[in-house]
Order: sequence, then C-alpha cells, then structure tokens
Amino acid sequence: MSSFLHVILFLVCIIGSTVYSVDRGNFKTCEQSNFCKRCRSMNKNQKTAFELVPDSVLLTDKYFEALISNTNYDDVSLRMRLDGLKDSTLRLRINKDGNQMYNRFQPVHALVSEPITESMIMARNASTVELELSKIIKVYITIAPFKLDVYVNEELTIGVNHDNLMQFEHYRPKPESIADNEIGSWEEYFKEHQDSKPRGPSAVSMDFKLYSSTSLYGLPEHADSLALKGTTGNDPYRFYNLDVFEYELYNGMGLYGAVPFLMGHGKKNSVGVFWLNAAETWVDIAGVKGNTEHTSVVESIVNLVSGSSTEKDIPRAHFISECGIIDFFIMLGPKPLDVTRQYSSLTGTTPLPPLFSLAYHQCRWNYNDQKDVHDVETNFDVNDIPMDVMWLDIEYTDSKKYFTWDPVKFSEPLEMVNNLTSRGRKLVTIIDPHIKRDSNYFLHNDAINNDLYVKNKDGDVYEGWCWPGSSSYLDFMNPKVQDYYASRYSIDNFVGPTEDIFIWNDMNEPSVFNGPEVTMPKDCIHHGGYEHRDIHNIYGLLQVMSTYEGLLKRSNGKKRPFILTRSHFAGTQRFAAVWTGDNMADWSHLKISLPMCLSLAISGISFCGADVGGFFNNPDKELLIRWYQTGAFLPFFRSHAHIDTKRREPWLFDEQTTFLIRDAIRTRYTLLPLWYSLFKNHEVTGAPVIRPLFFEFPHEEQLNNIDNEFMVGDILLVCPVLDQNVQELTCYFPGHEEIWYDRDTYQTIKTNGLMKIQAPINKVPVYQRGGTIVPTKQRVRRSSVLMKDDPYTLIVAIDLKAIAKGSLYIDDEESFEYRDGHFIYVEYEYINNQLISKCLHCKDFSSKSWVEKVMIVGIPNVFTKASIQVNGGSLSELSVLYNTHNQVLTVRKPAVGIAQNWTITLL
Amino acid sequence: MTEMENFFLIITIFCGIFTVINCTSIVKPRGIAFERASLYVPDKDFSCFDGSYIIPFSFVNDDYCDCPDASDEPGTSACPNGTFHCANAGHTSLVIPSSRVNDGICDCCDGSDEWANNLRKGACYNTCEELGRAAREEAERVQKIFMAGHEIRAQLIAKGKELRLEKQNRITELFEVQRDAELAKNNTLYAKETAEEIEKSALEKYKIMNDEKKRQETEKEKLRDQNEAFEIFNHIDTNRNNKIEEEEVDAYSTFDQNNDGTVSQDEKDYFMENKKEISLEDFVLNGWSRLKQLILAENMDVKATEHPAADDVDNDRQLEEGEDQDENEDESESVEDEVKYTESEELDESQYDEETKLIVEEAKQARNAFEEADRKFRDLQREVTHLQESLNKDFGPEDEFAALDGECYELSDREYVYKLCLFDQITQRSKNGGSEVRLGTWNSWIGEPKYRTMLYDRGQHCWNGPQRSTHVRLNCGLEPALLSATEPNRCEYAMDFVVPAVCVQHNERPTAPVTDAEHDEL
Repeated sequence: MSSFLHVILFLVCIIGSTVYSVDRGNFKTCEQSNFCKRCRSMNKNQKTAFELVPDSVLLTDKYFEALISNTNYDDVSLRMRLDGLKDSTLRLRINKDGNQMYNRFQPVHALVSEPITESMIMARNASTVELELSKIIKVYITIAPFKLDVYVNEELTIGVNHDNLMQFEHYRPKPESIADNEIGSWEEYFKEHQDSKPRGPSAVSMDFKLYSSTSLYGLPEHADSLALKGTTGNDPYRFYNLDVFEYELYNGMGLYGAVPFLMGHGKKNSVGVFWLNAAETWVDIAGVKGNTEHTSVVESIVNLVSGSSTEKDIPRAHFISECGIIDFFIMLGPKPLDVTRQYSSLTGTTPLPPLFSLAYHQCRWNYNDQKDVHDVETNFDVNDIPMDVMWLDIEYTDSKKYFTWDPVKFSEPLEMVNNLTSRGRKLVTIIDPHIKRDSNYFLHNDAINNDLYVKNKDGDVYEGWCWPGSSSYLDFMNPKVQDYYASRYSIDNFVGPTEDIFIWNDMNEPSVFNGPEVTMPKDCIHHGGYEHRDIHNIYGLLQVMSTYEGLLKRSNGKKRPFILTRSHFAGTQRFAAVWTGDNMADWSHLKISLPMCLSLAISGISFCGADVGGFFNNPDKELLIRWYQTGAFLPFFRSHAHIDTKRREPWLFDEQTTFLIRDAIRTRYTLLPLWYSLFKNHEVTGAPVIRPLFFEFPHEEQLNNIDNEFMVGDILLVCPVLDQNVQELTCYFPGHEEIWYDRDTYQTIKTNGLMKIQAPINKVPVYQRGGTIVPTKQRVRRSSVLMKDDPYTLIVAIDLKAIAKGSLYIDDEESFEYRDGHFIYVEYEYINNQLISKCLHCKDFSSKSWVEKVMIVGIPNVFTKASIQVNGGSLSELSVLYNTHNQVLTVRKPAVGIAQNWTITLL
Repeated sequence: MTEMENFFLIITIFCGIFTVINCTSIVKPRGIAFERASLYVPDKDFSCFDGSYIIPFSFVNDDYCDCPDASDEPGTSACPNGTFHCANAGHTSLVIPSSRVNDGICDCCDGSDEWANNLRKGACYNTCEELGRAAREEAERVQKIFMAGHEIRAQLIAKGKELRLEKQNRITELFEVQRDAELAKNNTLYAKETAEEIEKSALEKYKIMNDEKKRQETEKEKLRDQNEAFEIFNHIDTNRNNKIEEEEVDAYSTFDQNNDGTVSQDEKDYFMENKKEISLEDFVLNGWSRLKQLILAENMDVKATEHPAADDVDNDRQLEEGEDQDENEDESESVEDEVKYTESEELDESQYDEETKLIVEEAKQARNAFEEADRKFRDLQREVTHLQESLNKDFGPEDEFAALDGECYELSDREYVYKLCLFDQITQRSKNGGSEVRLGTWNSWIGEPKYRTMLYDRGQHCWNGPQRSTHVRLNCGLEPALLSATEPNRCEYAMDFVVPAVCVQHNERPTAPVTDAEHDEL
C-alpha cells in the first residue's frame, strides 16, 4: 500500500512541476468541440446505421460503386466508390447520393494528380462483395452492417468500420425547435466566441483496425513521441491548424499543421491510412503496445491497481471530421519505404531544393536594419563560419505591410541583397497572409477593390487582429487571389531585379490574435461558398501554392523556389519546407524536434527542422552547442530567436562555443553532397530523407519506440546528445549483421543493441553504416555556392562482406534544368578491393569537380599502393597511406573528373 | 597587364595547380610570407612543420593536403585548416583562411588569392596601390587626431588633478562648517520640542471643539446625499409609482454609457442587477451608489481610447515605462523633507485667544528656526557626500575623465533623442513625445582594454524583460561627441562616443604605412 501512495505522490509532483506551458484554456478539448463529442460518444454497440444496398452494386473497369442506406433516415442514401489504385493502394469515398443543401468540400489540393486506377475483379454473395486487386489484395465488403476487410496475401491487414463508428451527418434544414442535446449542432460557444453553425451538423467519421500492426506512427503535427499513444481517457489527437503560444510537449493538442496520414507497422508489414479531409479532425488511437498512453493521473492509478488489459491488442484509429466527405486511402506496403512511396505518389514529393536551402540559415526576429544584417554576415566571415542565408522577420516591412520595406531601416534592400550575393549568400524575407487594413496600402486597396478577402458570416469583409493591428485575410480559395498574390512576388512588384530573395510564409494557420482559438471564425465564408470550417486546414497550403507559383514565375520557371511555411497539410511538401514553429530554448524542445520532424518525414514532409537554439527564452551555451550539433543533421538547418531574447550568434559566447558551433556547421557543409543526393532520391522515390530506425530495420521490434535517434537516408545513424551535462550516453545500434563506423574516429561498432558512448561536449555521435559510400566536400567555404567546383572526398565504409555502395548526384544546384537531363549521376561500388565509379548519367551537364581523396574505412593493412584506370585507358599508380590507428586507407589524389568511369584497384 | 606579367602569371598558375618542381628555381611557394619562404627548400623533401610526415617537395602546393597542420599547402585551398598569405604590395599584407583561395571572391587586394581564376572573366584587379594610399592617408589622419587629442588629454589630466585637489580641500572645509551646523541644529531642535509641548497643551480644548464640528458636518453631508438621491429617483420615476422600472431606465440617458443612443441590456443589467424594478428603499441603499458612478463617468468626458496597433511596440513601451518612471527617484529626500504635521494646522486659528495665539506663534518660529538649521546641515551633508562620491568615481588612471563628470551629450536619430551624461546616466526621449526613458545609470568601466567601455545599467525595466542597460564604447576624438546609439538586444543598448581623454597610444602601433612593400611575390 505504501508503494501505491508513493506513486500518487510522484504523479502529483510531476503535474505540479510544469514550468512553461501553453494556456490550454485557449484551445478546445474534444468535449468542447461539439461534433467531436457527438462522434466520440458513439460506440461499437450502437444500433447499426449504414448498410450497403445490394442492388446498387456496380463494378466498372475503373472503380466499384454502391449505395449505402442510413437505417435511421429512410430518405438519405450515400454513394460509396472504391478505387483500386496502382501500387497496392485503395481509395474509398462516401458522399451523399444526389443533391444536398451545401457542397461538401474535397481538399484535392493535397493530391499531386488524379490517382491512377487499376482494374479489380468482383465476386459476390448474399452478405458480402469480394474485390480483388493485383492478385494479392482482396477487399471483402460486408453488406450489413457496412464494413470492409482488407486482406493482403490472404491475411487480414486492415478493417474498416469494424468498430461500427462510421458516421455521415447529412445536411438538413434547421428544425423549428431544437432538442437540448442538439443545440451544440446548430450553435456553439467557445469563450467569448460564437460559432453560428448555420449549416448544422455535418460530421463524418470512420474507424480503422490495423490488424497487422503493432505500432502506429504519423499524424503530424503534434509535439509528441514518434510512436502514437493510446488516447483512451484523454483527448484524441487533434488536427486544427493553430498558432499555439508556447506549446506544451507530449500531448495531442492541435499545432500549426495537419497531415492526416497514419502509418501502421508490424513485424510482417507496414500499412498507411490517409484521411483526406481539411476540416477540424480528431483521431482516437487505441490498442497500441509498448507505449505509455496519454493517461490522466486517475487512470494511471486505476491501471496500476487493476493491471488493466482488455481489448488492447489490435491498433485502432477513429477519424472524426467536422464536415467534408469520407475520403480515405489505404496503402498496403508491405515495407515502410513502400508505404511512403505509395503515399507520395498520391500527395507528391519535395522537388529537389536549391542547394543553398540545405546549407545553414541565420535568422532572428529581428535583425534591426540593413547595417545589422551586414554586420552579422561579416562576423560569420570574421569567425570563419559558413552561412548561406540571412533571414528577415516582420520588422523589415513598412509597418507590417508585406511586400514593402521600412523606408529607413531597410531603405536599400537591393544593395543589401547584392552585398549578400557577392559572398554567394541569399536573403529570405517573411510574408504573412494577413493584410493591414490601411487605405494607403496598395495591397489592401487592391483586395477591397477586387474582392479578394475572406468574408464574415454576414458577407462583409472579415476583420481580425494580427501583427499590423486590424487586418483582413486574403481568400486563397479564390483563383483570382492565387494569381494576384503570385504576381506580388514578381521583380517589378517586390524588390527589383534580384532572384536571390526567397520567402517565409508564417502565421498562415491563419493566426488571428482575437479570433476563436487564435484563428479565423469557422462561419467565415470563402470563395465557392465554403465555410472556413470546410477548408481551415488547407489555408496555409493554399498560400504556399500561390507563393510557389509567384517565385516560379519570377524566374520564368527557371529557378527552384524556396519557401518556408509554418502551417502545413498533406501535399505541402510539393511547395515548401516546414519548421516546428515557436519552440523554446529548453532541452525538452531539443529532444522533441526529432520525433516531430521524423513524424513529418514519414508523412511526406522531409524538409523539416526546428529553430536551433529554441525560439523563446535564452539557451545557455551548452544547449546551444548541442542544438547546433543536432540541427546540423536535420534537413532544414536554421537558427532563430524571439525578439526578446539575447543575441546568440555563434561568436557571442566564448572561444570554445564558437569553435564547436563552427565545427557543427562545417560538418553540415562537408555532407552537403550527401544531403543533396538524398533529396534527389526523395523527389524520385518519396523515400524520407531522415527516417526512424524501424524504416531501415523493419523486423527489429526493439526499434519501434526509438525516437531519440534517427537515420539520415539509409546511411548515417545519428544519436545526438539531447540532455544537459552529458559525458556519456547510450545509443541503440540496429541490425544484426551491421558495422557502424564512428564518423570522427572510424572506430567500428558491431554490437546490435544498446551501447555506451563517450560524448563530451565536442562529440556528436554519428555513425556511417558499413556498406555505404558517402561523397563529401572537405573544403568548406563561406557559402555553399562557393564550393560548387570543389573536389570530392569519398568515404567508403565496408560491410562484413567487405563491400560498399554509394551514389552521387550533381547538377547546377539552382535551376530546373536537371529535369531536362542536365545532371550527373554516378554510382560507386567497392568490391574485391576495387572501387568502381560508373557514371550512369553524364552527358548533358559538366562539372569542374574532381575526386581528391578516397578513404576506405575498416580494411586491414595489406595494401601498399593503388592503381587507377580511367575510361578503360591505361593504368596509373596512386600512393596510399594506411592509418593503423583507425584502420583507414587513404588513396592519395586520384585527380579524376567526377563524371568519369574509373576503377581504383588496391594493390 | 604587360606581356611579361602575363607570362609569369601563367607559370604561377601552372605551378600552383600541378607541380612546383619545374618552377621552384624561380618562385617561393605560393601563399607564404617572404620571411617564411626559407622553410620551403625545393631540392629537399618537405617535412610537415608538425613533423608528422616527410613528403616529396612536389607535394607542396599540389592541391592535396598531406600535412595535418596544412604546412604543405600554403597556396591552395586543399587543407581545411590552412592559411594563405597575400603580400599585397603597396598595402598591408594579409593572412586569410585557405578556404578563400580560388573561391571566386577577391579577398587580397593584389588578387593573389584568386590565382586560378585570374585569367577568367571577372577576375580580380590589383587594387593595393589605391587602397594602400587611402589607408596611409587614413592612418595619417588618425595619427594627427591622436596627436592633437593627446595634447587635449594632457590638459584634461591637469584639470582632473586640479578638480580632485579642489574637492578634497572643499571636503576638509565643509567638515568644519558642518560641525557648527550640527550644533545649531541640535540647539534649535531642543527649542522647537519645548515650544511644541507648550503649544500642544494650549490647543487641547480647541481640538475637542473641532472634532465636534467635524461630526456635525458629516451628518449634514449624509442628509444632503439622501436628498439628492430622492430628487434623482423622482426624476427617473416618471410615472411616480415609487418604483424604477425598465422602461424608465431606457428613457434615462445617463444609463447609456457608450452613447449609442439606446440603453443596452448590459447597461440596464448593471444598474438593475437583473431585477425588473427597483423600489425607493432599494435605490437609496444600493442603486444610488451605482448610478452615482455613472454620473461621475458621464461628467468625466471620457475620450474614446484608440487601440494601439499591435505592432506599435514603442507606444506600449512608453506606457509601461511611464509607470515605473519615478520609482527610484527622490525617495531618500522626500522622507526627510516631510514637514511634521502638527495639530495647529488643522484648527482654525481665528478662534484662538490672545495667549494661545502667542504660544502658537512662538512654536511656529521655533519650528522655522529648526527647519532652517536642519536644512543647512543636510545641505552640507549632501555636498560632502556628493564630493566623496565624486572622488570615489573611477575617472581613469590619471583622472583624465574627471573634467567630464556630469557633462551631457545628445544624439538625435529618426525616432529618439539619446542623452549621455557621463558618469551619471543615459536617457532616451521619443520624438513623438512621451516621457524620458532611462537607459542606465553609471556603474563602472568594463572589458579590455580598460577605460574604453563604460557600463550604464539599472535603467528602467522593460516590459516582461530586464532592466535596460547600455555599453558606451569610447574612441579618440578631438571634440566629445555621441556618434551612434543602437539596440542590438532588446533593452541592451550600445553607443559610440569619441572623446580626447582616450587619445592615448596603446602598445600596438596604429595602422602604420606598409613597410614590406618591396617584398613582392616574384
């Protein structure tokens, strides 16, 4: 009994010790969101409502279609359509049959194109319809109650509506008198805000059972662990894009973005579910193993006492959306990388970013004026720290009027940009979607005159409060707004003749300081007659689509845009990079940046990073150093700080801090060829650039909950220090027959499992996987573009069979010409003591780069020299140097052009 | 560029990229200072400076990094930790990181860092002559200022010493006077206390009378208020049923606080407290007090306050600064200066009898005499403290800043006027009006070299932030002047100030004219 008491005390202490946190009262719980409350209260045993109408069944060569009746409403029937798609993917859509009072919104913007269907075979009997897709996939549709069983290779993989939680609330006239329990369907209050809900209830929901999975992942953006937690007894994971001030960690509260993509993973296979809906959505999760649930204190105690274990074995998800149609995709893997490929064939991949955007970005709210920008840039050179991009937050504008410049502090924007570009650098400026209501502001006048703003429920222009004070919001649903906004970015309309300014779209949830939950009221009206509630989660996506178009047009479609966005949705990856928003200078926020970016990466958005150093508050030097060391291995690498924080540029602490931060950034630059090649690979295959460990080692169950380590591609294992005062940490090394090479010392690790690693402040535990070849550039210069012609050093790390493979992708680093074949692609293989370079695509692009050094790691000291043969020509001799200390053989100066076929033989 | 120069350049480039061997007889290795050229001997194997490897001399500057200490590649970008030396004949030689060699940016004024690119379009021009000339002129100008400033500084030192002596003498003098003053103060204090004792007992009976009068006045006031309540009540109660009803509230404009022409439900509820009607009794007890506030508000002629724009941080700051403006000021003084409040002052002197009048008059004179003596004493005390504080201030090793103590200098930019009062405080005044904001109070000299940076801290608090503070960097100039004021961090300011007091040569030479101009590379 006394230990029980201890547990309570302990829990009470944890709760009492929360220091910083969001004001939760500003955001709704499921209970306060009427549709969530309604749909969540459904249960398995409720009276069946939906049945397939057997006579209506139809299979064409493209899809299967049928009517679904609602047994509670005789006059309402739904139409379902099931598409078999290429690459083991299914799509199910359910909408009302025939006319309805209001159009239901379908956020097809998320999709890269109309998915390609594949034909199915149908068989049926009295109680079921059986569909077969590409032989291995079978879908059994039960007529009453309506449900689906999806089999892969005769094994039940996913169940749809197995818990009988499907819902489809049809639009209906507002009744004369409304029953007490339905008042919330027609009008809802939150704090002082009224949601007038003129269209009444319109929720949709569906449950999924992932029979073949043991863990669930995805559903970003939440500040939570990588592996999803059960939500029983707590709020579901919420999707409602919100500007959350000082967000709290390890819960399912809605954040800036919504990607309703769920991944299930088990020993046998991996699957995905993509719920295509842009309205407020809540997702209940249950049945996940080996992970602490989000439980209340009381429930923890109850569980502790009862040792609860009911029907918790099968992972389940219940999606509830406020409106829209039921539209979801099921991706059947079978491997994690298959699922991400299948998902990215639906929502697209990130186009290869311009190389500078993979380098280091320096940001602060705010650099005060153009001189400040110049001084900071100069200090990077004085301290010999590479840096590619300077950023300007909102203060550069003339009174928060976007597309203008402060006439005094930033009076010479073009000169400022040219100063930067003379060192190969770029500028990014912020452009937010709220527009200052100022009759002297051309954009506001244009918007008023051309009817470009979102309307309030009464049909007048909606006014909210944001940075500039009274503001209105462009209605990006309107194609006219998309065009108008895109044209704002043109050279004539913005800075003048430069293509070196790139764009940061912030506050695009949208953030409205005085709105309900700091966003736009749901009864606002958009183009097409849709309510804001219908489209809320794609508002930011629509903005970046327009910005992308604008940047593309600026260079006549030649140069690759770079955009950073805070709000995001499925498909955002096609246009912009994403960062994890306004985090805090706290170790816990450094730690959460891994699962947050990993969740996004497996959900299509690889180009992710967190504000290095933390946005709010002041990091001490140790936290800052560790954050740089970690951030250098996340795809988007930018430091950023709040206006109230102290300056924290790398040289403002002490010599050691400057040195270590320089080292971290320089490491990033040496690895840029790898990052660039991985992003190219991502564009083509959808493979996430950073990955959870289980992606590469899907059968190793111990990896399922690891989110303090990750892989860069399939090559580097990163086990960063995420805690204070660490001299030593424990890293998990995956794989049974793997060798891992410490990137600093080349020390080999053959352990499969946990191992203690010495990690003093100058140590970044990163390991190259045996069997890989990493192309690097060792001559780190002031900015990445200055390294364009520099030679490469290849780091060959052999596996247990003394084999290694790698590849390298090169192009002009900034244009779209690579899409016309203007690039170099080389594959390397080390086998039988030979390193072979095969230039597989070398015709239409030339590079001045050459191979300056080859380091072969992990081989014995038996070679005294090497020979090289280029393009089948004559042999010439190369000298080698073996370091017995770290077992690295260095081949000196092959001096061969990078786009050549050659073989180096060790002798 | 002449043919000959071109020829050499080509050779140099050739040597740099590929092999030095053929050229060693005519050039020292690229990127090495003349003084160190002897460390590279062409005919011998090269030993890395750190002793780690011995390599053929052909490996020197062959664009491959062999030595961990970078000593084999002084002229290329091959070693990540290397440096490149440019002679910059005509100007100052320069050492740059190897990573700046052949990166397309001209870092050396002689262009030698871009040797591989110099035949291409957009190559570097040799700008050393003109840069060197400008630098020499600048150095000369600076030198002149230093010389002249140094002389002024000498005067400042002399003045400082003089001031110190003066202050010390004055203190000694003051100590004497202060002793006398203290004696006088104590004497008058005794006289005052005695006189006040007598006065107190003489006034006892008048005090009792006075209290009674006050009580009666309060009674009267209460009655007057009640009458007013009845009057207003009748005014509102237009149908004279001794109840105020909703319609009557609607009709009474005072309830329409926001002046929108109607009495809204909220406005009504405030007064009626959700009741349908209010009786006279209820009105007198409760309603009247609420209504009185409304009448008060009505009379205040409240201006519609505009919301400040969310971005108008400065406005916000002004507001918040106004609040704590005076928190540190004048506290010590006000406590002491507070005049003792005696009974005589709240009584009506006209009713006193002659004897009492005399006593009161005597007490008043005794008080005045004391106050006079006390003020004198405290003035002296203050002066001594002030002088001592001033003597304790660090005016530099030679008192060269002493003459500037308390001197103020202003700088005006687009938004603000900054005022630096040396060894005292710094303030900022918005040009759009608003109160002055203290950016810091003199604390001490900080940093190295000493006496070059002043710290003013403990300024006014920032909203949600620290107290303001300012670093003032001093440089040599003939006239004291505040040159710049910035806010690199929120609420941490930085200023540049020139003053002759720092016109002193350090150990290091000022930017001297180039002397190794003859050590041309090649």
